[in-house]
Amino acid sequence: MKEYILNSSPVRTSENYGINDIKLNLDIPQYKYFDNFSIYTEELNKIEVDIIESDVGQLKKLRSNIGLEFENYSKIVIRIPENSTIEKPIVLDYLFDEDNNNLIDNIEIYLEKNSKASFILHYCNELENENFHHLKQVTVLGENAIADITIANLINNNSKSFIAVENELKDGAFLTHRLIEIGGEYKISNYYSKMLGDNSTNELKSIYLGTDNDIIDINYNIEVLGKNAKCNIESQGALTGCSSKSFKGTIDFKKGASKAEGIENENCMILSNKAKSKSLPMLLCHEEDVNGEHGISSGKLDENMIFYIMTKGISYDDAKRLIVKANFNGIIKSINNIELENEIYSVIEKYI
Amino acid sequence: MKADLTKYENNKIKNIYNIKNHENYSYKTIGLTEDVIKDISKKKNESSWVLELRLMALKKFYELQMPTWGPDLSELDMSQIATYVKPKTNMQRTWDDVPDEIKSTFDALGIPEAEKTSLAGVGAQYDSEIVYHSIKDELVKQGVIYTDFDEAVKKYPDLVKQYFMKCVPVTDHKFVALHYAVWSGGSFVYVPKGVNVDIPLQSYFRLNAPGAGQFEHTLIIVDEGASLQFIEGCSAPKYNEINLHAGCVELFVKENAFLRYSTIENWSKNMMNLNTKRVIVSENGKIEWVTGSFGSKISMLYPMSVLNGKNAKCEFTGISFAGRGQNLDTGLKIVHNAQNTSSVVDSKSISKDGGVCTFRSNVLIKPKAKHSKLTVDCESLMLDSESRSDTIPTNTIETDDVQYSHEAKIGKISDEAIFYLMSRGISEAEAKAMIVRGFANPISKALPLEYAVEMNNLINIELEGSIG
Amino acid sequence: MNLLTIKNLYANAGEKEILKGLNLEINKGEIHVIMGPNGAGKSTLANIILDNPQYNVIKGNIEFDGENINKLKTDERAKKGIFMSFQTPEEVPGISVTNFLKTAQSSRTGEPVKIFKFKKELEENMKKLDMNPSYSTRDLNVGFSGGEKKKNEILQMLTLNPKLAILDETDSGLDVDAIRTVSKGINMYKNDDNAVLIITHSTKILNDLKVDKVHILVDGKIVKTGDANLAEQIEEEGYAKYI
Repeated sequence: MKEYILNSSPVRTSENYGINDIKLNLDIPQYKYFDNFSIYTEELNKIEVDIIESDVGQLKKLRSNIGLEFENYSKIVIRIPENSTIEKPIVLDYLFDEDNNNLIDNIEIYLEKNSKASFILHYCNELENENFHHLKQVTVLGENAIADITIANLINNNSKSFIAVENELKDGAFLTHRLIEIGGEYKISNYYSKMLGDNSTNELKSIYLGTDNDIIDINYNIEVLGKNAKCNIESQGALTGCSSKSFKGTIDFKKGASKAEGIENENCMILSNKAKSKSLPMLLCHEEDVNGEHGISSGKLDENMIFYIMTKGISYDDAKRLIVKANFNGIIKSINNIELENEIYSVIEKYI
Repeated sequence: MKADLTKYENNKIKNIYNIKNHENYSYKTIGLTEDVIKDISKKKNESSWVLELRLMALKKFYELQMPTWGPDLSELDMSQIATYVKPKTNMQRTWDDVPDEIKSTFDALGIPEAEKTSLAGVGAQYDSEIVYHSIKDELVKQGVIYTDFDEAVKKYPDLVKQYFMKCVPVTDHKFVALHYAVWSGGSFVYVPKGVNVDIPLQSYFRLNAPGAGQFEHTLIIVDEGASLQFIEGCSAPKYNEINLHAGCVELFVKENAFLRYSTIENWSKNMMNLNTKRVIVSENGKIEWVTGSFGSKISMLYPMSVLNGKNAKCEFTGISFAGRGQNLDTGLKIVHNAQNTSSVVDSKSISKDGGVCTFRSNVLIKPKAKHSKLTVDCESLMLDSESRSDTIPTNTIETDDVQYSHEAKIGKISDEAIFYLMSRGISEAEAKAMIVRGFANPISKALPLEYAVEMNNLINIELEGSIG
Repeated sequence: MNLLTIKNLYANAGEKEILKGLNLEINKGEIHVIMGPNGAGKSTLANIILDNPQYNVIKGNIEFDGENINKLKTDERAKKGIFMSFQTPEEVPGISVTNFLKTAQSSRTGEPVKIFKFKKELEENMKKLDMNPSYSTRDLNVGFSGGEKKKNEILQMLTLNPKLAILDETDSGLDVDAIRTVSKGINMYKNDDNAVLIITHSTKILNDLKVDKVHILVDGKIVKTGDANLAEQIEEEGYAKYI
């Protein structure tokens, strides 16, 4: 075991507040081949896919903004050529099991000018074994490219999950990114976006669920450089048991980002008196002509709402489940994939 | 309140704040060593417990780290700071006994005039020592104590010992340790049980000597069921050297007591303002903070409220205005540590001409604080793209039974609003000024009229351009 | 057959004493009306019958269908067959009217809902209540007008088919047409095995209904009980002589 200081916030505040970084004692496992993996797409002829497996050190080191580093990993590069539209989502499906319990993957997605595609990265398992997962996912969107990417972390709660996302948006690009963080006793996530392009849009929607002794550390940082760029961070979470969560969300308006807009909202439902919620929603602004807003709300469920639901004969626990699901519903529905939707709900119901 | 001050009037006000007297000290120490501290203590004729405390604090100062966050403090060189500057006068009970040059400064700042019309007591500090202190007889008869800190240590040692350093510990951060090593001056207030001080008391801190530090200690105890309004003012003329302010304010609001602590801070723009303020509020007590931060080169100031008793309340209303060359890192800290505690925070900031405003807060809701409520609102106005405005709020919630919401907004003055006002014949500059004043209005409203006028004047000066 | 019996009920809203020894008996097949000045305790009574945690019983008994329900939780009371139409129904974003009612229905019956039949009935009921069928897919009460929210409460009453329906100021803020629709809903629901308790300020809603008893509630107690004529009398004279 070694102590790691991870997921550092882009702007520091007092160490006493305990939110700048997360300290974790970790055993980083040895690289192992992961073969329970498939890619589904109905239009393979339209896209370029390159799968590179490295245990011979042919790739350079993988570094993520979480702060971890790996010599060996598996890399997938997907390229959507100019002007092409892929209608059905491209699904990357990873099933963890006793042999495939250690995944270090690097997925790079390139959407060239005027292309459009959606992706689902799906991580799950049927067994209760311990897993380690570190994903670095990089997306580059060319001019007017449109991408919709969902990362669904549904692995079991004996696992450790690290998800680092990076992306870059050119003029007029439109990115929707969803992070569904249900699995893992450690759920460490990092999202870094560089909105270079004028008129570019970035919608980041995330869901997190903390149960038992889960540790959740979220660090989002969107740098807005383009004129008239729009970004929106929406995060919905629920904490039960003794789980704890740190949410660091930054919107950084750089000079020149005139007429840009940024909105950040986090809503954390605290369902247990032993759960702990920390949040640091930062707005950094170096440009006059912008509109920035953030809102954070936290607390237990609305008593009036619970009463209203219970008067219709629904028990307290069911009412609680209903409200949690209702709060998550907007983001889950927007995936627009009924199978994944049902799977996410059934995993959530297992925990609350 | 007059809305459109002419340039001439603005200049007049600027000149008042910028009055420089000749250096007229009777004694002065430079730097920060054990010998300097022994020297200060000897000059102040202190008991040995005070000196021991100072030396312990100095040790802590060297042990503690500089902050690893916030504005750059590398320009501060403690070996160059005049740690103690004794003016050529002792504390006086009437203004006539205060030397003319010093008195004329306070006259220009309007302190003796305000004392006659709207204050129940005044303390005036000049560099390291209080030069004037007064309190209305009625209050003395009711047992209210309002005096300078040196006298309090001598006359009420038990009361002082009971509370001094109990709110802000020496280990809190590096500049508190510095404060306890070299503190001098400041006011001591005790309001006995059930006594209401309806008319405010005011302490004014003026730093005249270039390259000097001011380290006043303010200790206020509002006993059970009592109430007090206290106003703190501060200013200094502008020099080229770095001046330092590392004061410390310790406040105790007892059961069912009330305290409103208002500050209008207009330090000159060569000042590093590294101040510490804290209150401990007992059951059913209430603290109200009203602060306007306009001056200083760098400020790091986060008044902290510890709500330790059931139903304790905190209200915070503050505004910061950073112009050219200023980096104001301000905000607050709140600890909810008992049931049914509540706080309401309304913070605003304005950045202009390359000024940097940072709102930094830390809110902690402890497991004990069931049924607590907290609302934080912060709004920032950017007047140009040379400036910066950052919002860095940390929130920690350790109970499920809490209603908590935090909202922040950053933006510019709406073009439509300016157009609307201009269509009624108002100039663009005045339209902007009106909107900024409107933005600051919630803070003005929380101040007594004279101080609201002073704040509006400061806004007018800031809007017009940088001082001198 | 006796359905609801309240004996000597004392109850608080927070620290404040609101109900001060209230007695009430409702039989199956009856429509009761409670009228009274503001602050008399009308809404408190409705909320107490469903155990709203913001109110608490100090002493007294509430019996429903021959069973003391003092110790039952809100959902258990609802499952026994008590329904309340809220004065200001809660907005619940993220859950549709249909899904909400399906969940409520299946927790009452303990069985899964037959989707096709359920949807058909819901649509029919909505039609009768002049509700646009698109409301069934919208989030519960979110962005509904005052009138739509109230109709939605009546729709829920029809769907869940309780034994006792308490309508807390369901008519307030509604225009004449909407009030008529609400009365229509009540008549659709009403039969010899169930009962209705209407809490109201005005008599308009009573025009199309066959009211059995009218109670005047003043300062936490029922001071007068009469037949439908009592409501008309109050409409003309006010509460002055009961205060």
